[in-house]
Amino acid sequence: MGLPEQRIRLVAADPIEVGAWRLLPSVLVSTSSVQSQNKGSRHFVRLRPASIVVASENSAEWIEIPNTTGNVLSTMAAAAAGIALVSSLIIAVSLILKNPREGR
Amino acid sequence: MEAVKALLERLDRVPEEVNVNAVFGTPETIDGITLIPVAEIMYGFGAGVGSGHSSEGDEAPADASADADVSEAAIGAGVGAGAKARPIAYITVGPEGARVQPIVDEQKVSLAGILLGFWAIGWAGLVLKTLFTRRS
Repeated sequence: MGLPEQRIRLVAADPIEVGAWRLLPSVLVSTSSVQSQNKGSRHFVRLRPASIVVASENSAEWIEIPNTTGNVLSTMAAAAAGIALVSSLIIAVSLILKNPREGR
Repeated sequence: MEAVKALLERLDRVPEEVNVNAVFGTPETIDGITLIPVAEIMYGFGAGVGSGHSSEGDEAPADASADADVSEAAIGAGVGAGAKARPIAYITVGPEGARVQPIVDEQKVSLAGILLGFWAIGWAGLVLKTLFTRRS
């Protein structure tokens, strides 16, 4: 098995007609493949809607489709990392102040 | 064996032929407002094949042909696949235009919040223990 080959593409999906509105969606396609010559292969595909363009006769508007859950989890992960960093600094400073080098 | 190779070649082309329209559901109109569900789709699959010959201790019959040798070769193959779809938003289309309403996975966020709470309590305990422990 070799290294995985990863590709990310932005693909336009079929337009959706709703009344006078025309929605033009786009999808982020991430693929990861590992292939071995004549022995097998593994593939992983992720389809994530990225945005839509809402068009009418007079105007067009771009609307992002947010990954709210992912954003909240990322914020929590950053908070966890910050807590660990600040706590480690406090502990390190405390230990240095409590145990100064002898002879100074 | 050729059939298995052909199958593997076809499987290798699947990622290039994905149908991106699958992430958008069928529009449903309720009271003049059209709802379009939007989902994130993930799937993975793999296939493998291997072959081997019988051990050297096995004696082939004297009149064995080349075809017989091939038929005695052990061939094994396996295929596995999995898929997951998760709703992430829905699009509402009304007279004023279209809006995207995100869907939050509350179960996942709640679980992460509980873990973050335990994480913070653990670090706070460690800091307090360090600060208030007397020097020996």
